[in-house]
Amino acid sequence: MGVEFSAVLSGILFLLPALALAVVLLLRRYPGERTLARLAAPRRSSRWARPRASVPRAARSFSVAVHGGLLIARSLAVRPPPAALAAS
Amino acid sequence: MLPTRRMPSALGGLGIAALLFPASASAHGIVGKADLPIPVWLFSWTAAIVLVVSFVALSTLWRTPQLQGEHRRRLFVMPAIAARLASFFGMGMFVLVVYAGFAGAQVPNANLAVTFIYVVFWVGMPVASVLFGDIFKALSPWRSCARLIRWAGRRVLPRAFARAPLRYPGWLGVWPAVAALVGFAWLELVYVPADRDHPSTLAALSLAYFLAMLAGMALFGVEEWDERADGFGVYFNLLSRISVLCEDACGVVYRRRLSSGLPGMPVRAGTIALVCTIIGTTTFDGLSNGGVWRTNEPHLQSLFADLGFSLTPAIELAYSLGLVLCVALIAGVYRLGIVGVRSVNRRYGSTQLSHSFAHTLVPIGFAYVLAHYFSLLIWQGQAIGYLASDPLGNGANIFGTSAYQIDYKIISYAAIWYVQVAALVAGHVGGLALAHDRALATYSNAQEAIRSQYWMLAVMVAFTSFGLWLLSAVGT
Repeated sequence: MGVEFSAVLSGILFLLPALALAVVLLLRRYPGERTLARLAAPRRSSRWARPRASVPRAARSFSVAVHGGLLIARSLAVRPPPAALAAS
Repeated sequence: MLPTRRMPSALGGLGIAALLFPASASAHGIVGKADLPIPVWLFSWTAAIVLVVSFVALSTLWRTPQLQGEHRRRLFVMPAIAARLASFFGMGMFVLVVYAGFAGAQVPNANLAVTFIYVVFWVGMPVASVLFGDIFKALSPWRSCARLIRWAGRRVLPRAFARAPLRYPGWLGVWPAVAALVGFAWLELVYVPADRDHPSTLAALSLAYFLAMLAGMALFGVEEWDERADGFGVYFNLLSRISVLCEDACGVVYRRRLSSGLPGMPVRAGTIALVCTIIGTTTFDGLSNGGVWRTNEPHLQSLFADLGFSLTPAIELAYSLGLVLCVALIAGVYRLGIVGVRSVNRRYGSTQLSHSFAHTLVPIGFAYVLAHYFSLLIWQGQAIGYLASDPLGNGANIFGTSAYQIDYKIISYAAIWYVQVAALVAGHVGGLALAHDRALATYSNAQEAIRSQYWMLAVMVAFTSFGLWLLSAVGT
């Protein structure tokens, strides 16, 4: 009887992790499920292809002076006539 | 109901209580033999933690199916002469074993037949199949003999040997193979010890099996019968799918990912029963050597004796019942796991899911076989050293090794226990990885895939804990 009891007790000790997991699942609980799903979801960013930031980048600290052909074009440019005046 | 938050602390409390009262743990024979630094049951808990960590790692890092294809890489072409030599070697060994069984000394340890069948063939071949692929296909004596007869027959009577006279019935599946494996397990574990280790009995049964295989191959075709009805051929082929090596019909040898041969395993009628038989019979082998069985078996025995059976049939019936119950238990746990998987999404039926995840049990089957028979392979396998020189046990010394003796100090009890634990844990982690991979391929929703794997995790933890308990209880 004593041997049988200790054998059963050792069996329970051995099977305790499995029994605990079975009880949790039978209660329809999936511990850590959301965390796992979040971690398993494909990440939008990766080391090689970073996403564009939603906030526009800050202006560059330096600007290139207008020169050459662009300078002439800008100086010769005139404002076009208003659309209504052009139609009449 | 225990709140989920309090569950870990409750489990921890139970663990501490168990550590404070280690009397039950010290009752295990393996503790005394191995002098392990921690209680044996703690190995079960550690194995469960390893499985849970593996589950988390698989769920988060293994995001796309990796094992649904084999990804073969060609290695070399096996020369045709090698296959022929293997066939003749297999047939030669079979003749030698049967001859030794009949003509040799009728002493189990002195006759090649007993050690060859129970150790080299039954335990060594599964290990070799996992290491080197389906080598039994080349070595199978009945397959080789049937092919030889077919080749000769086609030369003499081409029309008669052009095709098999009967078509193998699809509904039969691999059930003949299941029957063969159950029969062998029954012989090994249930049949009266004085007879099951008798060399001439083993030789006669081997010859009967050989003739049955030849008859089946003659009626239904060599390949059809070999792939479905030869219990050992089907069993070794199943395990060889774990291997990284495989060979195609043209003799080209490939390297592939570990276990990637399993997802493509054909699931025929009886395939799940076959895998459950492999695990269940090994389970019974462990159980029948433990205290629980030894305490309860006399009650079963007296039950059958009360029904009018004499002593020997009553013992055999009690053991047969135990064998059947162990197979049924394994099948039941797997079935429960599948019912749980199905509860996640009703789109797939239970049968469909049980077929879909059947291959995940194969690494567990191998783990059980390796864990239970590792010591037998290491110790009794050495007997081949002297049996090779004296196969009949009549004092011959062909290779000069007849004086060789088994070295029982080659490995310690503690080392055996660690190998057993490692084999069980590795096998179950392998099963978990296969199940996870199949879930990714089956479910389009990641959350459903993860939920389904909670159930497979429970199945794996149950099998691991149960296997460790059986191993630790051996000899108590």
